[in-house]
This record gives sequence, structure tokens and C-alpha cells, in this order.
Amino acid sequence: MNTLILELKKVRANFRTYFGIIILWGLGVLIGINVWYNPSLVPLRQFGFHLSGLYVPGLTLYPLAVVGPVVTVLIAGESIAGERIRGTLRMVLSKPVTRQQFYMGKVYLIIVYSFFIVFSTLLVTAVLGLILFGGGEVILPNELSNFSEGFFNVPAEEALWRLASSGIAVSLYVLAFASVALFFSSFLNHSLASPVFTLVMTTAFTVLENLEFFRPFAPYLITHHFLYWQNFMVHEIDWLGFFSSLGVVMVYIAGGIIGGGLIFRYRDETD
Amino acid sequence: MIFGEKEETTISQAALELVNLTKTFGENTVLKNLCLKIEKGDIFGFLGNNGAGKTTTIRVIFGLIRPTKGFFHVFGFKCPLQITLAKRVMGGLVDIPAFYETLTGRENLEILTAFTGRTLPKSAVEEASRLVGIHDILDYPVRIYSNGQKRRLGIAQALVPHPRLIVLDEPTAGLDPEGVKSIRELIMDLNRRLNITVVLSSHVLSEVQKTCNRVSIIHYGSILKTAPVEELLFDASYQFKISTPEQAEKFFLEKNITYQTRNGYYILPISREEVPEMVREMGLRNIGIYEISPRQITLEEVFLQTVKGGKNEYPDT
Repeated sequence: MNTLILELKKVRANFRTYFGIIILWGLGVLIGINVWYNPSLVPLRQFGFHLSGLYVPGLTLYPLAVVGPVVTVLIAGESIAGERIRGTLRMVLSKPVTRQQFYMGKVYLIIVYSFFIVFSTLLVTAVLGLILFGGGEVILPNELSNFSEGFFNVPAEEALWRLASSGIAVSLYVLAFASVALFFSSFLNHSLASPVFTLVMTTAFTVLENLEFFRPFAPYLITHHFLYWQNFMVHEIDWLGFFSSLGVVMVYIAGGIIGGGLIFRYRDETD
Repeated sequence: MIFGEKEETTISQAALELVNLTKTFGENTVLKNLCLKIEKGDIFGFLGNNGAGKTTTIRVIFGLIRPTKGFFHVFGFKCPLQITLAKRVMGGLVDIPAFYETLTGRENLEILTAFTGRTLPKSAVEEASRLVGIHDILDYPVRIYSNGQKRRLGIAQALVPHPRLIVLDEPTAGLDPEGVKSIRELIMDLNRRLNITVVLSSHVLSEVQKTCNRVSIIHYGSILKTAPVEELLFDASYQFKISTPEQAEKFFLEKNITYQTRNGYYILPISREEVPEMVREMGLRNIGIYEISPRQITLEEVFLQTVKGGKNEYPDT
């Protein structure tokens, strides 16, 4: 944990750390404003539906799953490669610290950061939502994004844990990208190379999963599980679908972290 | 115990001992069976051209690079097996000092100190910064530090955990003459007052000559010579300024005396005791002598001589 505190001390002085958070919080606020003024929700109100404030964080999950990976990839991708290129890596590794200890500090950092950006944004948007709409039960469409198929009520307490579970799912999805970026960062010696590689990989996966020939492989691609958190937003939670997606996400997390750790442990630091 | 490293020391108690240290990158062998012993209390100079292997050796010593073959001891700790324990008794500066630029000097020292894995008193940071003369600027962000101040901060971070050995890679590179002098004095002071063994690599041979008591010359990954500086600078020869060169050269040929010329001087490999007899004989042959003096050689000359394959030749001969 000591290494995590040291990592937090380092990133706290870095503008990039706050840039991502500001973007995400800002998006959350904009979504709140959009819900308030959204004309498509007006009919619901006319039917007498009460819009719960938890709508806002719920809707924020989607942009979190899009922007969150980009933000964490920048932090994770820069974490080792950036230190390498600045020369601080050799300064630290010349101290009596093992490479595993140093690396674990980076791992803790990306875990904390991934969860922090998601849950802090959910908290900010939840507060905004409660101010704008108040609390109470949440009404969700039976079919996501399709109001014509009817609705179901979710009591406030259940809505909270569904939201928290979705938040964990999005955090893990974000962490999967951060882990891949950390893997690249463990051996690349340019602070932007790792984020670029990770984002190129993401684009390539997105293209691949839409190609007919590669469809059978799609479930193994991380981008395929982009919306797996929505399993908590349907009437009957699809636990099987959720856990199979979670398994893939965890494989990316473990693969990135373990692979990067092994490479970093044995790499000659010549830069 | 750190990650399976046993806290046992071996027989060797030199400050640093390299044993057949070899490093290969692909087909390129950059360190070739380096063997070297640095005793406690030494200020040891590691000399070599660019690409000779100085920085690679230092990186191996700090565990940044793994040796392909061979090992080394640091105060008895066998490395690379016990590298983390070894790093507890040594500090250093590998290459150009680099810091977290947005943090203050103090925060940098605290972060780097925290990685020592030991609880050090808060005064350790103060003490080290005072010692290197950067105490007044310690609370400013490092990005506003000058090169010299960064070098000093680099030495301070090496000193905070009270090491018994410090290894400095080009500690005076990029500094102005005043900065070079103050770093030299600091190194000598650390050695004298705190009995810290110092290993430094440098291109500035005149500085090494003034600072170190022993040196090693490394060339293309091999150590060519290791000796006390005094011994290297000792040259049993005298230089003569002569008014009649032709006669003198004829005389040297007859007497089978090998000589060299430099800056208008004839350098003869004779001892102090042989000088009167040489003067007498040259006088008998009417060879005019303006000046006789014992020859002073510099570390630079020794270095150039050594890296040119040990041939006894000087640049302008």
C-alpha cells in the first residue's frame, strides 16, 4: 500500500490526472441537463411518470464506458513508459525496491483510478439528479432505449444496488483497457506509444467484431462487452450473460497485469 | 528478508567487487569479463570513452540491467541475487539525474527515500540537502532548478539513506567550472568526513585526477588498467630542452637510448640518479642543454596511451 501512496503523490501533481475526471464529471452534468430538457421524456411526465434522480447516473454509465477507457489508458499507458522516458524510473529502481513492488504500485494506481473515475462521476451525477428530480423509484423501459415496449418499476433501494453493480462492471471494463495499456507501458519507451497502441487495438477489435468471418471470435474481444453492464438494467437480470462477459473482462485484466509484470521484471532498463 | 533474498554475507568484504561481469545485447558484448575490486574508503574513478561500458556497468550494479554472466559483491552481498539488500547500503546516480518536475525537491527526496524500504528520520532529508547545499531551494518545484542544482539534488537523494557506497555516473557533466569544483569538493568531503566509498565515472580526466585515489580504464567493454592514480602518474623519465637537436639525436642513437619528443622536449627514460651522468656525457659532446625537468604526465596522457593499445606513443610525436 505504501507504493500506492507514493503513486498517488506522483499523479496528484499531474494535470492529466484531473483532465479526465473533469471531462467525465462535465459529461455527467451535461447529461443531467439533457435529461431535464429532453423532449422525448416529456410524454413520460405527461403520463404521470416520476423521473427519479437516479436516471442521471444511470444514463452516465454509457459515456463512462466510452470515455473512461480513453482516460485511464492515458494514465496507465504513461505510468511506466513515461517514467522510463523521463528517467525517473532508473532513479527509483536504483533504490532498494524490487521491480514487483514498483509495478504493484502502478497496478494499485490503475485499479483505484478506474474505480474512482466511475464512482466519483456516478456520485456527482446522482447528486445532480436528486437535485433536479428528487429520489424515488426508477422506471425503466422493458427494452432498453425503446419506450414503446412498456416499463417496469424498480424500487429506489434495488435501483441503487443495480446502479452500483453496473458501476463496478463499467469500472472493470475500464480497468481492462488500463491493464492492456499497462502491459504496453511495461516495455515501450515512449509515453504516448502505449495509449496509442491500446486505442489502435480497440479500433481494430471494433472493426473485427463486425466482420462476418470473425464473428465467432467476437465474444473474446473486449470491445464486444462494451454494454455488459446493461445486464443490470433489464427487468430480469441476465446473470449468465453478465458472468460470461465478466470472465472475458477479467481475462484481459489479468493478462495485461501479469504479462506486463513479467516483461517489466526481466526487462533491461537501458533508457 | 526481501523476496527470498537471504541476509547473509559472503567472504568478500570489499566495497564493490566485480567478478567476470559480462553483458551481451544480441550479438554485441558490451561488457567483457570485467574484474575489479574497490576497497572501502576509496574514491574510485571509472574512465572510458563514450560507449566504453561505464554506464552499462553502473546500470548492472544498480540492477537496471542483468549481467549475462558473472556476478558482483557489494559489501559482501552477492549480486544480482541479493541486489535489493545491496542497494540498501549504496546510493547513487545513474546517468543524468531525473526527477518529478512538478514536485518540490523535498517531495522528490521523500518519494525516493520512501523506496528505500526503511523508516528514516525526517531530519535525513534536511541533513542531506544541507550537506549538498540545496536546503534553501528544497521547497521549490524541481522544474525551476538549474542543472547544477539538479546534480546536487541527485547526490542528496543518494545520501539520504546514509549509504556506505555511492556510485555516481558523470557527476559533473554539464556543469560550469565552479559547479565542477564544488561537486569535487563535496565528493572529497563525503569520503573524508563520512568515510563513504565513492565510485565515479567521468570524461573529465583532470577532475578524476584531482578527486580519485584509484582508477580503472575501460575500453570497448574491457578493463585495460586498474591502478592507484599516483602510480599511473609516476613516469620515470626526464625531459631535456636541447639547442643542438642533430647532435643529440646522433648521441642517443650511439648510446641506444630510446627517446620521444614532445613540445620541443626530448623525453628520456632515465631515473633521477642517471641525470648527472647523462648531462656530463652530453656536455662532452657539446650538446647544449637549456632545461632539464622531471616529466609530469597527466591522467589524460595515461588514458590515451592505454586506450591506444598500450603503445608508448604520444599524440604529437
